[in-house]
Amino acid sequence: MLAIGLLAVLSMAGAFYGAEKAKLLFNSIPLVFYWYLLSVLFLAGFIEFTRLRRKPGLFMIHTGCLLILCGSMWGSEAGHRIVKRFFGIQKTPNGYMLISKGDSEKYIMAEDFGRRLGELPFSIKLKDFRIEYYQAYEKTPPQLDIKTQEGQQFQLIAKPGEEITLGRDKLRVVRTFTNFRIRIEDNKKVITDEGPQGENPAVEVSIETPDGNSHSRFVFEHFAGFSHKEDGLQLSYTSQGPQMIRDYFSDLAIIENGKEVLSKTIEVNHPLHYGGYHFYQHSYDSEMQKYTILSVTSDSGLYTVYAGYWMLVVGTLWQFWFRHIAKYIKDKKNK
Amino acid sequence: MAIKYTFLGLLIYLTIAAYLFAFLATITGKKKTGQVIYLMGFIAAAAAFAYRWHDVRHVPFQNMFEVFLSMGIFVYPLSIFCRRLLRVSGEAVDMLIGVILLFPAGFVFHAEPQMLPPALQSWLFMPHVAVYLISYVIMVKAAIQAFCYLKDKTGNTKENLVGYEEGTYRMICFGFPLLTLGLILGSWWGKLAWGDYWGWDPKELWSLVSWLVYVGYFHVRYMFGQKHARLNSSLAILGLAAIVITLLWVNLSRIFPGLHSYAG
Repeated sequence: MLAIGLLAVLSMAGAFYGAEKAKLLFNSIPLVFYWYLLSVLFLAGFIEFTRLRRKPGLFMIHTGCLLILCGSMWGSEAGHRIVKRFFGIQKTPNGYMLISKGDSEKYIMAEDFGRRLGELPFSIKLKDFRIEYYQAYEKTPPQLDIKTQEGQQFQLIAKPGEEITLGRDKLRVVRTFTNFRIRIEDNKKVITDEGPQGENPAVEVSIETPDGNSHSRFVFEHFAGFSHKEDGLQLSYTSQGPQMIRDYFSDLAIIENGKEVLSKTIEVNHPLHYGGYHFYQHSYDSEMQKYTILSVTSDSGLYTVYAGYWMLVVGTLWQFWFRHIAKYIKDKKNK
Repeated sequence: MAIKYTFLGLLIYLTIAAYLFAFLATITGKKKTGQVIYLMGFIAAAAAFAYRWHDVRHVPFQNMFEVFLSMGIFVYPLSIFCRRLLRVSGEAVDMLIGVILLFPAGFVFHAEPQMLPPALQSWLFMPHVAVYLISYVIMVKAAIQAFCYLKDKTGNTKENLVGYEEGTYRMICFGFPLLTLGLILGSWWGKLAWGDYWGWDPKELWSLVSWLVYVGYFHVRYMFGQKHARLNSSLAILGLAAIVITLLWVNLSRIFPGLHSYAG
């Protein structure tokens, strides 16, 4: 009971700390002792309480918890160090790989890519990378709403080259931005569009007056309805937001001894498993889509954890549901 | 306030009104009328759920609006199941639970449809959230039984129904495997989507706390039986408090930023 209470209190504290600090807390030396103590308590429970051995539901629940604990410890960084020291098996617990299109990579790096954590016994080649967007967003064209000084309203598809005549003036769409940004390069202002995941959609328009003069204006989606003294036009831009990503895919190939031994397209929720590691679609080059970032995790201890999951679920279902249903059916038959 | 002047909003308000009238009819002794209105409320709730599903083109479990909308439809079948098979009382209170659960969907949260981000496009999305939502409704019932025990130890033993202490135990026995399944499915999904079956995320930690409180309940009840029944009942109420924090506080408060932030 004390161990359960302590874990509950520590989990509450961990929730306030946030995931990063909580991970450090639960992997700290005192907590490592706690995990070992908890495992020993489970074993002692089996010896002390015959009910835990004889009742299949209780046996599975407690064995399941013990397996999850053991599997987690085996898969931890400390577990990997112990396995390396006693069995000579060297595996990197986790890390990241940045692979450019057409290139192969075999080094596992830290999250900031400044430090090499390990080397795979094979290479991974990125054949291709692509992003899919939701169709609704692709089909809805961006739109420019125009209100003149006289109160007349116009709408224009905000595609470069589109034009509209507003009385004597002419308005033309020059360029659209998914994420409008201004950078200072060599003491000069440079207007850029920073990728598809923009937060500042905008459109550049050119307004020509009958005397042949023209001036440019930038219309920002998040600042709708601004008007300028020069032309008195009230302009609003609706881009339908940045294109919403449906999914992103990396076409990978495993290269071993110079030969392609496996190829798989991975996406979020569909990792690649090979050579004792899982490779996950983690991130990508949001500007040019020229590289992909994979997160790499060793599978040490994973199947022990999964076995624990199965035992825990089947055990609880048996102990709290099926046992009673079986008894109910048996009683009904006897009646 | 986010009042909805839409067909979906109409269905939600109809359900709330039906559950409320069913409650009033039941407590004023018109049980049969209450039952009929309760069933009508459930049909309206199911229609709202189906309409939303069709509208957003995925099972409506993505955000707080959809979560509360979905819990509104689980109340009726669970209420009937608990009374007829588990012999646990509290049908009138269940109607009120239905009103309370649908209130945030009707008046608090906005209903703008959202596309599913890549991480949520998994077959595990539906079972993981569904088992959690069902278990939450069950644990609300368990906490109400426990609260009633703390107020009135004898309980309603009429109509072949069990007392409040036993009712609490039966409800927790019913809900706990689903709570466990929700935790395990979430962990498995985390492994497939993020590469780790446990990320020490605030939502994960609070869901572990909820699970541990009920584990504590079973251990206390096994050790002491009904000798410390008030302690058992208090733990059942504490379990619900942990669930409320897991479901609401973690998603709505900025204190707990984490991987589950899309659920807000």
